[in-house]
Amino acid sequence: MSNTAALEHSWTTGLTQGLPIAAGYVPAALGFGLLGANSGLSIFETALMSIIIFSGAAQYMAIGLITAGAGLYSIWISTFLINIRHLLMSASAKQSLFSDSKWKQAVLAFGLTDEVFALISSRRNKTTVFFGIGVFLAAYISWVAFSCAGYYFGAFFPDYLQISMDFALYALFAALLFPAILKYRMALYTAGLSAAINTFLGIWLSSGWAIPAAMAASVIIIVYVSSFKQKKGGQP
Amino acid sequence: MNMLLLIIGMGVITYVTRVVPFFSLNINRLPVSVQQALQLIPYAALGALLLPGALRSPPDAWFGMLGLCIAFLIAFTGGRFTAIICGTIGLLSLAAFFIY
Repeated sequence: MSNTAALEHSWTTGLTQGLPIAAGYVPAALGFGLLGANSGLSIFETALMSIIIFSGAAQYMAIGLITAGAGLYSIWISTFLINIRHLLMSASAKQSLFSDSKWKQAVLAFGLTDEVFALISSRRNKTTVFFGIGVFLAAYISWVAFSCAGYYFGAFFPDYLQISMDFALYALFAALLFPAILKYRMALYTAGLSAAINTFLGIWLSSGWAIPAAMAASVIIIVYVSSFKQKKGGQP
Repeated sequence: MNMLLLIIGMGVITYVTRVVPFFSLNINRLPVSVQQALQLIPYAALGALLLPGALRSPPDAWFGMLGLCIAFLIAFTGGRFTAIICGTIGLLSLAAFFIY
């Protein structure tokens, strides 16, 4: 590998290219820290979630479920269900990377959030695991630091900022979902059906169970209906 | 609830879903219907997480509706992850400044 090629795939280049992700995490992480503080979590618990879990969707969901009074197992099951997507992302990211030692891959795997994955897999050429680790570090430092900042300083934000920060969780979900439903019709159907079932089940069930139930039901229905359509010779 | 146990468990579960494909899981060997289900699960998760929660977020359903509309418009005009989050929170702050 020539020097310029080596530089293109170095972890410092990854760190620089990860800056847009780090910037996108700022409001989401501030919102998470503020939410942790408002939900009665300690700074230790809030920071530990960002340090150990490093998954915005799972962390936000967990705080929502904790305040709704959900139990340990229902939160763990929901965590698994919302993170199943990573099985596919990691499998796909692996194809975008030059093979490397197992421990380096294991380090990168910890940091493969939706956005880190998207950046690595949207590059035209294969890249190194070290480049990926650089992207991961930029995202991780921002996520952890601004979670803590949100916890401590969120209460000092002016009211109008605090009100909109409460919505940061949904802005994060929307940022992950909306580009996909504009591109894939199946994503639109699945998300719409799941939202409808969840709204309906929410009348009787706590959200700790309504959300996983709605996810499972909507996916089974959509897969079943699309297989039926394919047998009939219709468009999938 | 034991918060430490909850957090460590969530961390382990999240890490397992991210690391397993690197070492053992060959997605291509699973039945097509299972592959399809796996692909759709994230959208099902996000759909259920977004609604009705976004409309029940304080201060009221109109504010939530406004937030969703802003996020959708930014996505519709080609905005990606960072633009959607920062744009939505920025414009919502502006709206909240004038309304509340």
